[in-house]
Amino acid sequence: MLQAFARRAPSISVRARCLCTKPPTSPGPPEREYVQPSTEEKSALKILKDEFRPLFTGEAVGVEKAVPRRTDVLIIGGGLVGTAAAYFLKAHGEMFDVTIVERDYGYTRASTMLSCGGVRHQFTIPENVQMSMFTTEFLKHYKEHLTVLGQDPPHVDFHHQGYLFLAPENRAQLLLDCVKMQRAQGAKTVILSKAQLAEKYPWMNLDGIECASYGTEGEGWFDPWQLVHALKGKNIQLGVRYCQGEVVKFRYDSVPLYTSGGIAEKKRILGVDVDHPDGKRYGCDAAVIINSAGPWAGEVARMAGIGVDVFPELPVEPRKRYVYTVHCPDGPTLDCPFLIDTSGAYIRREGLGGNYICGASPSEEAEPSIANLDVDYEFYQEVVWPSIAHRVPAFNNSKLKCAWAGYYDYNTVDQNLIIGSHPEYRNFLFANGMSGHGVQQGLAIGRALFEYIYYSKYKTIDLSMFDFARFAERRPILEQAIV
Amino acid sequence: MTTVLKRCLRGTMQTQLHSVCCPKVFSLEQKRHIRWKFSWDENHLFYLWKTYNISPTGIKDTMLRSEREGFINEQRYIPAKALQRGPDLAAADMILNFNGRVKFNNDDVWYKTYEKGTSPLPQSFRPDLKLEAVDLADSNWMLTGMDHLHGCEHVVFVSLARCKYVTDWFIAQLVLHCPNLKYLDVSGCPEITDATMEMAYKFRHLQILNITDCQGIKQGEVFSVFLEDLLPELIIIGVDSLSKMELPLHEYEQQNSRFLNLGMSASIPEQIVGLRSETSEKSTVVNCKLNMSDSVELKVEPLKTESVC
Repeated sequence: MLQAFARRAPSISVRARCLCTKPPTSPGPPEREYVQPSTEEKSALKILKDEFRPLFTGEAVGVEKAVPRRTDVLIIGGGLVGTAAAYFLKAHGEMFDVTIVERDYGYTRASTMLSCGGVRHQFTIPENVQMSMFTTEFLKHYKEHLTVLGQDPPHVDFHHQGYLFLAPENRAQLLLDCVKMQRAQGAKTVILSKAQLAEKYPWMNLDGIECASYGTEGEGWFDPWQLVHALKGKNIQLGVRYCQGEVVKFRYDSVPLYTSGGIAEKKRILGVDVDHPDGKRYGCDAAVIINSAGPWAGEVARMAGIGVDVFPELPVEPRKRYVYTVHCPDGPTLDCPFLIDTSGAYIRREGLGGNYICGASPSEEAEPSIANLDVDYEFYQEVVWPSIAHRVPAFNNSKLKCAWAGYYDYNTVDQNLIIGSHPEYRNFLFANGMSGHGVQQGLAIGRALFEYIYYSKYKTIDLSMFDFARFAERRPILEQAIV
Repeated sequence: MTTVLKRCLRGTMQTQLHSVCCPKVFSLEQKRHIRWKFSWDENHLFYLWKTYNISPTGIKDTMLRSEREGFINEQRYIPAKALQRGPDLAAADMILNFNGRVKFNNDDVWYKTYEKGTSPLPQSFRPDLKLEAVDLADSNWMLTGMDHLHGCEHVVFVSLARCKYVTDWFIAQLVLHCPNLKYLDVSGCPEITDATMEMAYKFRHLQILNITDCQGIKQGEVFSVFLEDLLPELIIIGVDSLSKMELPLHEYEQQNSRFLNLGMSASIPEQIVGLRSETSEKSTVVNCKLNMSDSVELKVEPLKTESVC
């Protein structure tokens, strides 16, 4: 009986069985050689030896690994926020060893490069106003801050045109209160009545408009690519390390926590694993890790276990937005501000050849898919063009030239900044969720991160209300002036 | 000790008192300096960590930086002074300190500091004196200095010729403080760019704009065409002629504007292109607002330009 069960007849033929001896392997990720992060302490003699080794081996300079094995501050993402943070961390001196990990040096999908580059002081929250004003102050003196010794001073073409927010009758009081708050913060915004609007902008159709708010000083648009380029040049002079690679894993350290319920384990982030294009995976230890990955900050946070082991999760996701270039031969020329219509559509002049840049935010139900950066021209036909042609009748005779799409790092809860450390993993800092205002607030965020790391509190602008704990405490901060 | 000294010096010029006696209010820094004690706090660590560049270029750079910071410090706007003497006189005082000249609305005299260093201006508030003209040519005027013009709405003449620190932000401040400007001179300023021309239309009464020798202005000719449209009385000095443009406007924009080139690779579907093309087909190579002919040189009505003598 037992023998019959033991000797089981094969159900498939012998030939087929030979083919099936090796189980098929799924095409997983290629095997990468792992480079250990440094975990041992270096004695002073060892450091001296490392300094003089190039002399004896005949190399001109010590060969460094592609990704450092240990660093003080690791910045994930090399867009405007990350570069600005690195700049402010190093601007005062070589106190910190800063490394930026960026997976795409061409910045093909980076939100900074694909944005319109506008700077406005007209927000409804005082801290947002102060952050934009900090950006304006920095750009006033950017040549002094960002000139690298021995090279030409950088250019940031700032066009001082100002933003014009139009308001219908039911929102006029809200606009008045906002302008009062902005003026109290020091921003130079004014309210324009319908008569003043008709006199200043005769090309505008003022149907349904009661008043508007206009930024007279410090508002406008600039080229964020040039700013990041200038910041990067200065960073390299100051000694920031740029590494190309993708963060794939976070490494933890467990510490036993003696509680009344028993011994628990408290996890602490030690560092990250970075996949470098040369095929190796480097382990990098870091004291502080800054998440400035932009739209993909949610993914990076999930890799760190936020949303997987500890809750709540980081509510940041990419949202696609379109920008269209339009040519209109009869449109407004020099006196065209950055016009924001009551319907949410915006338009601004680009250059002198009659070209304009316009767009709008889609409604919540009609959010486009984020799989790729393809442009939806139907959206222009149905949503954007009717609004702007109604507001500026000259655009009835306009031609769509080209378009591009970019991602907003959209904070799904309250569309405002998330900054500061995570309550559990205290060395993991956030700088995410700006929802379309990253270019305006990036420099202020960089400065705030430097102050948080060095002084352990915010000194220039108090951003403690934008902490991560507000999601657990159900304390959302809603900004009403989102474009 | 100090009170005895003050009693002896009473009756002499007020300004000398400050240099001889100690001021009454001490800040924390001043207290530390006087007692010759130095305590390390987190801000002082920056001096230790900074990399000091001791090459000749580095030293020169440091000296230029400290000189620039000195100017910024001296030109700081003190609201109490403006309240005491009125904005016009306070601004005039600061301008005269920096080798500038001012003119008021009551007479035709350019005021300048005397050789001994004393100032010819009245010391107390005079409601009838309004600042009309400011001449800051060849001076080290800084952006903080423009705050002094807050409240001086009667200024009609501003000259910032050959000032090396003048940028477009100065003109943005001027737009804010002195909207009644009639004459603006920024000739010879190396850091003035096209943004100045973009902002010039905001001066509704501007009559003369001088931009000779501004290397940063690349499209002065095209801007002057647009400015002539918006401000009919404007005369622009320093712009020679439109035939000097090397590239037609369309190509210049395609080369220089990143935003126009971002979407170049995206292809627009045929049905969208054909829809709005009724009258915009005549947008030729040079996409300017005025009627264009086929040749490269723009044939427009004669510009009221003058070459500077």
